[in-house]
Amino acid sequence: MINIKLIGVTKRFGTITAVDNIDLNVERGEFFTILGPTGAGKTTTLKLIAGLLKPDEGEIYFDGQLVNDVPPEERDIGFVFQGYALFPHMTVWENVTYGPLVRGMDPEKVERIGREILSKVHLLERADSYPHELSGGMQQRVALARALASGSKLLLLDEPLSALDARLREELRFELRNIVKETGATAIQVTHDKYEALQLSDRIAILRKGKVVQVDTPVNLFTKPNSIFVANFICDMNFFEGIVKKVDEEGSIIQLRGGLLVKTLDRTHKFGERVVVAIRFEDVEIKPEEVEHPYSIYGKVERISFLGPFIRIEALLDNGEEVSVKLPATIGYRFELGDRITVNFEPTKIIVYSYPRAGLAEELIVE
Amino acid sequence: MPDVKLVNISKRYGKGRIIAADKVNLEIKDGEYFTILGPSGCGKSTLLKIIAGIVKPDEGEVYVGGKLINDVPIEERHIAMVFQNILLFPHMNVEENIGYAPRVKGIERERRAKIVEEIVSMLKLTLRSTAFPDELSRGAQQKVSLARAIASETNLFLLDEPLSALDSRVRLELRYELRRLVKELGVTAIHVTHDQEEAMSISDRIAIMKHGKIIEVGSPVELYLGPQTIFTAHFLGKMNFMEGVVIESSGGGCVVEVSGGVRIRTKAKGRFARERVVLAIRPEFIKLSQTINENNKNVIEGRIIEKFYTGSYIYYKVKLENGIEVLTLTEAEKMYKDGDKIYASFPPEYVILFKYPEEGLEKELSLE
Amino acid sequence: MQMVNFFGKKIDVRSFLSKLFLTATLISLGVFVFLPTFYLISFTFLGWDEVYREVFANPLIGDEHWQQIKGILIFSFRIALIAVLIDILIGIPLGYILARKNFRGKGVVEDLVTLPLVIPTSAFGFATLITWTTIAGIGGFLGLGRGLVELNYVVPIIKIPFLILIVHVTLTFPYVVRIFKSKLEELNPEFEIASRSLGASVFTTFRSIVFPQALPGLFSGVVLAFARSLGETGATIIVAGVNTTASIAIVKWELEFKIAPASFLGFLLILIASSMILPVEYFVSRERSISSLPNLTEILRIEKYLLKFEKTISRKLYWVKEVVSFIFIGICVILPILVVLNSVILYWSADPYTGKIEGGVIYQLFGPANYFKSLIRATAVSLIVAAVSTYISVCIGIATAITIEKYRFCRAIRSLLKVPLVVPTSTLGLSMILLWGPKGLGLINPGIWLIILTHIVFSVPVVVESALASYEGSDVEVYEEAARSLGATPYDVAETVTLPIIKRGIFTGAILSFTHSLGETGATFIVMGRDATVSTLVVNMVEALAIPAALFASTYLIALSLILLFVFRKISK
Repeated sequence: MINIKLIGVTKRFGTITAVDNIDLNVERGEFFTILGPTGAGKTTTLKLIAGLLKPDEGEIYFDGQLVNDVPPEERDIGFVFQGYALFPHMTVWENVTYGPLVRGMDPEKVERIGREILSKVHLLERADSYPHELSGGMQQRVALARALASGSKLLLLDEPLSALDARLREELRFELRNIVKETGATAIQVTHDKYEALQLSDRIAILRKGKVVQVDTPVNLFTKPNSIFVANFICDMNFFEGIVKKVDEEGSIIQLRGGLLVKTLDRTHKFGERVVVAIRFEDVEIKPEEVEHPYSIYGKVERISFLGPFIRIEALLDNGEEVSVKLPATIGYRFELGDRITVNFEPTKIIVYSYPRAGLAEELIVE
Repeated sequence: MPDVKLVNISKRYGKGRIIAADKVNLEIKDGEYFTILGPSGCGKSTLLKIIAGIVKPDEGEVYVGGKLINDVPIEERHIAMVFQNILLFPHMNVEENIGYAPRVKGIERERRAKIVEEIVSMLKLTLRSTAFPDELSRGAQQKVSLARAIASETNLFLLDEPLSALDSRVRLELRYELRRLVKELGVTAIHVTHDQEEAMSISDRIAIMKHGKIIEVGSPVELYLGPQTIFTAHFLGKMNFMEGVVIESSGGGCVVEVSGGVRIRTKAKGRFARERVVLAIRPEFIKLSQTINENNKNVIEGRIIEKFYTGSYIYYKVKLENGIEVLTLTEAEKMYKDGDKIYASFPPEYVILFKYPEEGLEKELSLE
Repeated sequence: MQMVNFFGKKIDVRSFLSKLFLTATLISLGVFVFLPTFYLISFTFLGWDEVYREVFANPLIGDEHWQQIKGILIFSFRIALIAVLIDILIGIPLGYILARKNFRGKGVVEDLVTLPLVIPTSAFGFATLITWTTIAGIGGFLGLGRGLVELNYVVPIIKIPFLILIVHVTLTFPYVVRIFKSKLEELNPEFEIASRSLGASVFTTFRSIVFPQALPGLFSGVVLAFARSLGETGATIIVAGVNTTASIAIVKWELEFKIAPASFLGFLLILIASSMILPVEYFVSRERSISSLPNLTEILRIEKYLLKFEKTISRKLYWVKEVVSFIFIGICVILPILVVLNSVILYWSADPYTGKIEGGVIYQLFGPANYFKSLIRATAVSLIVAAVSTYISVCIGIATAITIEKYRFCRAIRSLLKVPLVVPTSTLGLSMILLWGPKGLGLINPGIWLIILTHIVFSVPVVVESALASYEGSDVEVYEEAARSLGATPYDVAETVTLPIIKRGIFTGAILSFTHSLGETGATFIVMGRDATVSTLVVNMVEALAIPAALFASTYLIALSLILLFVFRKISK
């Protein structure tokens, strides 16, 4: 178990700054996730930590030791690659024991480790197969076994599950976390899948355009996203533009398009300020008829999508804006296309952001 | 009218060793959004390729609009395809890509430009039309390829895992866009995917496929709530399975004894006493509480052993007193800690029963 | 890892070693490959006074040499251009068929396409000669009682000797076919499905989707074919009759000690070839250069008719391309081989037409001329040269390939390595002898060692190219990163991961350079001294009019190349 520290790390490729002055601190034994869209610099960060790339600026410390000039083979890491990078000319057994062998362990020990780790991932009977003979899920487990075989104290996972079928991915997620936790290693995972991040991690760093936007525990990130980008990326959120109409001790009242009023508990924004009101899909209260209530908003069901445990309803509000609502499926069955509905935004559930300088649309770009 | 009918379609590869399609029969209605869902290698892409005319079936017939089209070449089948690998022509810019189908039809440059413009505004594409594919993000590329397909003005869309190569966040956004477009254009769409949530959220009907066979066809809700097979139940979403034996069966349902002598009452009918069954319930239907509630049925005591945070909801793994572990999904507002004592209740109306599979439960649950 | 050097300064052993490796690679590349390639240019400049005097102002013959050079150059370039045009016409359909179609006997067709690359050119030239101009060939089959064409028959309109053209097309079309084909194989066939699903016929799809994307491949094939045609010596010398191409001229002049005109001609060849080839390479390598080309069919407003036409041929005339390709292969590749085999049997004990025993294979081989002994000796020389030069080339080639992948600034080497490939080999031979031989550095006399050095020059680029292709085609970088993350040092990585994965590419390169070395004639002629190789021996036999011996030697060489082809196929599968 080691702790990893990045201070002011920057990496450029030609004119593109892939990683821009990043600070990170990963605690011992932590399962840490770097989450962000494609091109945010996630994989680059991971490769910098692994030593596969050299930073242009900044320092990287393992347990307080500067490792900038230590080559990857001396950093004692386990790396699970996107697409696995299993050596195609070696069998499962040779792949898994490659690390212990090149690190010079004696043959008996290598034999023991190989058996141990392969039985842990239930692949001992496939030891003599070649990677291309295995299914995607098996290849993934071989890649994990290979990374763990040397007993490294730092495990780096580059989108370890993204090559798998959606359903299999869900199942293996739990398995992955259990195996990693059992070894006690510090783990850093890179992914673009928010569920993977939320379900597996102790803490998450959100990356955007090479910069760290927010670092926190899943619960804090989800409940208190510090920016519109994070909120949009990690929660399913509705965003509305508005103007603060009134501020008092209890909170504020914000006027949306079409003159609709929304009550919030927010007091950080001034009267007349342009703001963005955000509320999660699952926090929107929705009723299948028009109910008279102050701050009620009316609309019409436009689309219904069935998600299994949930139902997602998209409604066109009378002010011309769209709102999405996520309900447990058992309640959602009551709604039908074209139904008139009443929507309520519970003040405690609303987050208010200042209107972004680059415009709302720019903040909502996720690629 | 593009209704599609497959009759007894079979296809084998590798000298007959790999069965990609095994006597498949399917009927897809005009204007339907139909999805073929299954794990990698189940033969779903092969089926789509047979409809497109890329692969010739060994046996069986393909009808589109009532006409047998087995021997019609791809270019005369009037289909529009969207691919997992996107496949925008790399040497053409956005406008040339979208205008390709009109161009090969021999439509003049001026009219072509108009068609392209119309589609671009319909899709709300805010792109430079002179940009080349590799200058666009993956999501934008796939939108352009959708536009290219629309420009062919056909009414049968074949979508081969169109979202699989995209970032998960982009995937979500494009998913709804896809359905909106298909419905707006009034075309028939056949969509192939391995993502069960994607399939359920956009389809009118879904066919579940495994090892070259269609296992079940139905609407998303039908399949999710009333699956006929263990595989469907498992593939469409997380499900708790327990082996058990029916000990009492009547018109109102039956009682099943699972391991440890625990009895669970269900509303499932048509079972006979002493039948070996598999009992199943979805995580979101199991209710957790820290006190015994009179209204709850089938209450079993247990302890929280693990939790997985997913945002507004949390998965708890509960170890029941009979040693069985179940997964539950509850609102995140109620937070339990590992080791908390808990009462889990299984509402009888949501407990489903399956005949115990001949080859064992383990094999049925394989997702690959 | 660190250690202390003499001055007590700490140095990093690893970085020291990698610098040593880099320096050694660059030096060996420079000495063995680039120096000989570019030496002729500097030689011409440095000895300009003499060259000028000999070529332009010879006291005896004035500028006669210059006039000859002009004529020869124009002749050679005309041949190369026409040959390449025919290559394109045959190469495109054939490449497409091989890349996209599956049919019985595809492997055989592929082998037949590779054969002209493997076969020693002089043997092939001889086979073609017999096939077209003697009674033992087509003429005999047709019952004409003479050869189908005269040795010096000139094709009307293009005004090129028929036999030279046929030999050049056959020996160069494999480059176009193979490179075009491998480019097509790289291209995702789903693009074609996408296009057809949008309503384009097979031919329209080929014209608007496949062809533009495969154009760079076609260009690089054409460039190699063009260069090969310019440099072809072995076969040309046999079928040339009264004509002289640039390569032959260089060989002849060198043998007549007319160094100045020979080197000036070589100098011009390098210059003109590079100035024609490099712009094309640059244009192709630039991104999107293809899409910047104007769409002619749209401008001419013939697109509509073209589409209709393409639709018709897609439906009805799709078989034409197969038939044309196969007839071409049949006549130009298979037939000469069959004719040679047939003739060897006919001539085995005596000349079948005169009945003279002196005209039989046996007499010529074991009689007073004892060609058998020279053949055995030449085989030994050839095999030693091929083995040693291939071995050294593979060593330099692997190091170079790794260097090119590892160091950004070494990328330019890759483009530079194209130059030895396009330099006509006779020019190269001249360059070698001027550099190393008695008149240059005086280090090595003509003979087996100089042949080896010469063959290394054109073998290294072949090995490097196929190693790099294999490197880039198999994501080796990812595997290397994986190995390093598992604790492997760069040396471990090269040994356990990189080399095993690109092994096949290296083998392919090795086999190609081995066969190239066996068959090379132009350069070898100049640098061989008294150590004749098999392919030059055939030329000597023909010039000595020992036809039956040449027949036997050709058969022997064809058999040898078929074996190599078999090995080649085993490895590249």
